[in-house]
Amino acid sequence: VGSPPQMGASSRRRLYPEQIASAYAGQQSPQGAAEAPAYPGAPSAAPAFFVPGAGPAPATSPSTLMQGQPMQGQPIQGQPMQGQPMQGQPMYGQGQGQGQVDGLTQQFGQMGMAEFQTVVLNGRPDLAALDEAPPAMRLAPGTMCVAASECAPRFQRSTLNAVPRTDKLLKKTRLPLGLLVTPVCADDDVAVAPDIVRCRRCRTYINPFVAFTDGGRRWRCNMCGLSNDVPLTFDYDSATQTQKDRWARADLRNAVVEFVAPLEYMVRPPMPPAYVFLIDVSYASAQLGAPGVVAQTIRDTLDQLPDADGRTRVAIIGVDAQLHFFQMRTGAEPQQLVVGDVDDVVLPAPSDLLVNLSDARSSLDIVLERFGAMFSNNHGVGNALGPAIRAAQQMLGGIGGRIVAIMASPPTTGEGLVEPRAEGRDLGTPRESELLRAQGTWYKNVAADCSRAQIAFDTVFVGQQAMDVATVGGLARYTGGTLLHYPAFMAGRPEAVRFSSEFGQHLAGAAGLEAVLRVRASKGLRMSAYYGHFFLRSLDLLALPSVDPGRCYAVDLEIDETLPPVVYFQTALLHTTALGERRIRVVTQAVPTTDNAHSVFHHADQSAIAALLAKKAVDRALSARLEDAREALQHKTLEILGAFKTLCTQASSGAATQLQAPRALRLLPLLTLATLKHPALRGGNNVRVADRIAAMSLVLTLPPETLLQPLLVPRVYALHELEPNVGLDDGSGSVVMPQLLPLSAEVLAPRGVFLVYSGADAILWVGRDVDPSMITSLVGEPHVQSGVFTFPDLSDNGSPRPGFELNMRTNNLLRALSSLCHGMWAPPMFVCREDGDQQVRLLLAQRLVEDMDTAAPSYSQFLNQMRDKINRGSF
Amino acid sequence: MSFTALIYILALIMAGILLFASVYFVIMLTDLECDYINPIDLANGLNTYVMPEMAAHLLMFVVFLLMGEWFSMIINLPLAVWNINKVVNSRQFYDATEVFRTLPKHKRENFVKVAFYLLCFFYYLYSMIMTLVNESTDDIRTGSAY
Repeated sequence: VGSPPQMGASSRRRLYPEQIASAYAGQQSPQGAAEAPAYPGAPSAAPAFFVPGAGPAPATSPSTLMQGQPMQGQPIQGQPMQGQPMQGQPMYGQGQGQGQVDGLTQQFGQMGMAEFQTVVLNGRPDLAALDEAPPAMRLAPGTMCVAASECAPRFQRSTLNAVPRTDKLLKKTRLPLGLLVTPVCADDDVAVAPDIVRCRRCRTYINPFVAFTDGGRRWRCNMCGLSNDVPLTFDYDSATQTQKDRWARADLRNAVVEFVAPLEYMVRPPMPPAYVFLIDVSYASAQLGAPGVVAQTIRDTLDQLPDADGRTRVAIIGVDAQLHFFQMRTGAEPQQLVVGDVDDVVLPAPSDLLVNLSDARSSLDIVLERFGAMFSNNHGVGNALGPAIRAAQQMLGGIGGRIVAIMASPPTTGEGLVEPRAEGRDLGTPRESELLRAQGTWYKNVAADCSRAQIAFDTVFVGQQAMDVATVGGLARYTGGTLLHYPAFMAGRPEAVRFSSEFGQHLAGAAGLEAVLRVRASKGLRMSAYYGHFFLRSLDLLALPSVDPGRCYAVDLEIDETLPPVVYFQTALLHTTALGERRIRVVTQAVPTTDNAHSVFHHADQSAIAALLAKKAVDRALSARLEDAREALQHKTLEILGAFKTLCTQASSGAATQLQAPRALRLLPLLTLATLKHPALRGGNNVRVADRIAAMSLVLTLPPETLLQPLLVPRVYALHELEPNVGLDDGSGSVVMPQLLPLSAEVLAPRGVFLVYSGADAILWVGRDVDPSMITSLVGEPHVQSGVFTFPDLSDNGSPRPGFELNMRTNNLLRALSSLCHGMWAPPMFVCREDGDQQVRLLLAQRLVEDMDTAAPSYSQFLNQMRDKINRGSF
Repeated sequence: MSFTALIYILALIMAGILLFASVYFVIMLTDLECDYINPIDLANGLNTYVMPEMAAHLLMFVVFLLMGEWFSMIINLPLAVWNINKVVNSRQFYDATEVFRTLPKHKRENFVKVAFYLLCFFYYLYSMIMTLVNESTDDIRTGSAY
C-alpha cells in the first residue's frame, strides 16, 4: 500500500493514483526518491536511486508505466546490475515563488484549467516575470527520463514547451516554433561521459530519454525509433573486472554531457590556440591613443590566454598604410620589420613572427610595452587591412586560429579597400537598409575561405570615424567571431578603461576551436533557418571556427508530419577545447506535444519567443529592409494575440474591450516594443549605421537570459528607498535585489536617485530635489555633474565605511547585475541630472521603454493599437 | 549557304553549350543540397561560368537582333533582360554565405533555364533546316543550283 501522495509546490514528481503505484512497486513507497531541487537546472541533491552493485535501492520509485504501454527497462527484482530509472518527471521548471500551483492540481492537471490563466493586459507590465523559469513541461506518462535530465534553460530553450502536434495547429496559433541553443556557457560544469554510443541510423547520441528493451540488451533511439545494441562496456568494466551500474553513466543521467572524442572525429590533431592581432596604428588611431591602450590590454591578458599545453602562439601586426611585423626570436631583441609593398604581401621573415607564447613571452612583453610609444606619433594615413588579413592568413596557414582586428579607420589601401559610405542624409529613409548591407564581396569571400581554414575573426571598431562596419563586420559574422564597437573610445577616458576590461574579458574567455554544430530533432521536425554568427557549411551543419562562451544560435523549426507524444531536440557541438582536447558537447531536451491550442498558448516561453523574433527581425533587416523587419515583428505579435483571442477566449469573434493574453505570454507586447525601440531596429534618423550594426550583432548572438533583460528591457531601481536588507548578502552568497520599477519616466521622482541598468551601460538619474547627504552617501560628494562617471568604491574592502553604506550596497548591486550577464560588460555609468545635460537625458529616454518617443508609441498606446487592430480583425 | 543559315548553326551550337552549362549548374546545386560539396566550392565553381554564360547568351541575342530574326530575338528577350537586371544589381554571383537561403530560388531559375535552352535548341534546329531548305528551293527556282 502506498503512502499518501506528497503535497507541496516544490514537489517535482508526478504522483500516480495509489493502486497503480503500489501494484508495480510492491511495498515500495513512491516517496523518498531524489528530492526536488530548489530551483530548475540543478542536479538532484542525492541520486538515491542507484547503488552500484547492490540491489534496487529500497527507496526507489517504480519505473514508469501507465495505461498499458510497454514496460521499458523494467528492472527485474533481484538483478543487481540495473539500477532503476526515475519515473517520468513531467513537472519541472516551476519558478520559485511564481504561480505556486497546488500539488494536487499538478497531478490531475492535464485538463486543469487552474494553470491556464488568462491575464488582461493593462498599462503596467509585470517585469518580474522575466526572471521566471520557462513554463513547466508536462511529459507524457511513459516517457523515460531521469531526475537530472531536465535541460537547463540556459543551454537550450524551446519557444514552445508544448509543441503542437500538427503543422495545421501550429499555423493556427501563429506562434513561432524554434530552439535557442547556447552550447557553451561561461563557467559551466558539464559531466563527462566515458565513451560514445550513437544510434545506427540517425546518429543520435545516447541520452537519458532512450528506452532499454529486451532485458536491457538493446536500446531504442528516441529520435528515429531504431533498436540498437547496448555495448558490453555499459554493464561490465573489463579493466577492473567488475560490474558497472549503467545508470551511473553521465550520458544516461544528464541532459547536458560532454564526450571525449576519439580519432574518428578529428581530421587532424587538435589545434592549439593561435592569436594574430592586427592593430591599427594609423594617424586616426594614434589620435585616439588606441595602439597604447590595446597593447597594454593584450599585455595584461597574456596570462589568461588559454595556454594549458604551452602550444599557444601569438603574433602582432601593426597596420597603417604599411604592415609592421615583429620578429620575436627567443633570446634576441625583438625586431620590427616594415613591409611597404602591400599589393602582394609576402611575410618578411620565414619564422618567429607567430611565436610560441611561453617561449617568447619576454620578447612579446617588450614589444607590447613599446608598442604604444612607437606609434603614438605616427602620421601614416591609410589602413591596409586587406593585405594584413592576407598576411595573417599566411601566418596561420594550415593551423587556423583567431585574427583579432582592431580598427580605427576604414581600409583604404590594398585589396579589400572599402569606400566608407556617407550616411548623413540616408538615415531614416528606405536607403538606410542598403547601408546595412556589405559593399562588395571581398570580405565575405575571405570569411568563407577562413572558415574553411578554421580561422575566426574578431572585429573591434574604436572611434567615431566611418569604417564601414557593415562590410568589415561580415568577417566576424560569418566566421563565428565577435563584433565589438567603442565609438567613444579615447585613451585616458573611462571608455578606454571599459574597453580594456571588456576586451580582456573577451580574449580570456576560453573559446572552443574548430567546431561544428548540428541540431537533430525527432522525426517530423525540420530545421529551416539558423540565426547567429556562424558559417553554414551544409543544410544543417554550422561551421564555427571559434565558439565563444555565452553566444546563442537560434534555429527555426518546421513541422512536416504529425508528431509523436514527446519530441526530442539534440544539439551536438564537436569542438576542440582550449586545453587541446577534442570534445563533443551534447544537449538533449524532451518537449511534450499536444493537440490542444490552449495548451500550446499556456506553455509558450515568452522569453524564448521574444528572443527568436528579435533575431529573425534583425536577420530580415539585414537581408531585406528595416521597415519590413519592424512591420513583420509588430504584425507577428499582433497575430499571436489575435490567434489567442480567436482560439482561446470567450469573445472569439467580435470586439473585446480589453486585450487578453495567456499568462505565459503576458510580457510579449512589452518585449516586442522594447525590440522595436532598441538601436538595432529603431526607426528615426539618430542611430548611426555603425551603432546599429553593433547592436544588431548583439541581438543576433545573445541568449535570452542576457538579451531580454537587461539589454532590451533595462532594470530600474530606486536607490533612495532601498529596503534595509537590499544590497547585502542574503546568507547564501547572493545579493538581495531591490524591487524592479516600471520603465517609465513617471517613476523618476524629483527627490530620488534611480539606477537604470541595461547591461551595456548604466544611468544614474539624480532628481532635482535630492537630499545632498544621500548623494554623499552614494558617491562621496554632495554634488555630481551630468556625463560619464566612474562609480567610486568607497568601502573598506567590502565592509561599509560609516556614512557610505549606500555606496557599498550599490556596488554590491552593480556586481550582482554584472554577474547576471556573466561579466560580459563593464558598463560605463552616466549621471543624468533631472535638470542637466540634454544628451544624457536623451539616452535615458531611449532606455525607458514604456514611454512614448519619436520612434514608437508608449506601452499603453501600443496595447490600445493592438487591441483595436485585433478587434477589427485586420491582422 | 547563306549567312542566316550560318547564324542558326552557330546558335544551335551555342544553345547546346548553354544547355550543358545550365545542367551543370543544376547538378552542382543539387549536390550542395545533398551535402556532396560545400558552399565555398560551389561558389568558386559556379562563379567562373556565370559571366561567360551571360555573355554568350547576350551575343546570340544581339546577333539575332542585327540579322532581323525577330521571332528568335523575341523569345530570347526575357532572359536577356533578366540577366542584365542581375548584373545591374550585382546579384549575378553566388555568395557562399547566403547560398542556402536562396537555394530553392536558384534551383528553380536554373531548371527554367534548362527547359528554355532545350526548347531553343530545337527551335534553332528547325529554323536552320527551314532556312537551308528555303535556300535550296530558291536556288532551284532561280537556277543557281545547277
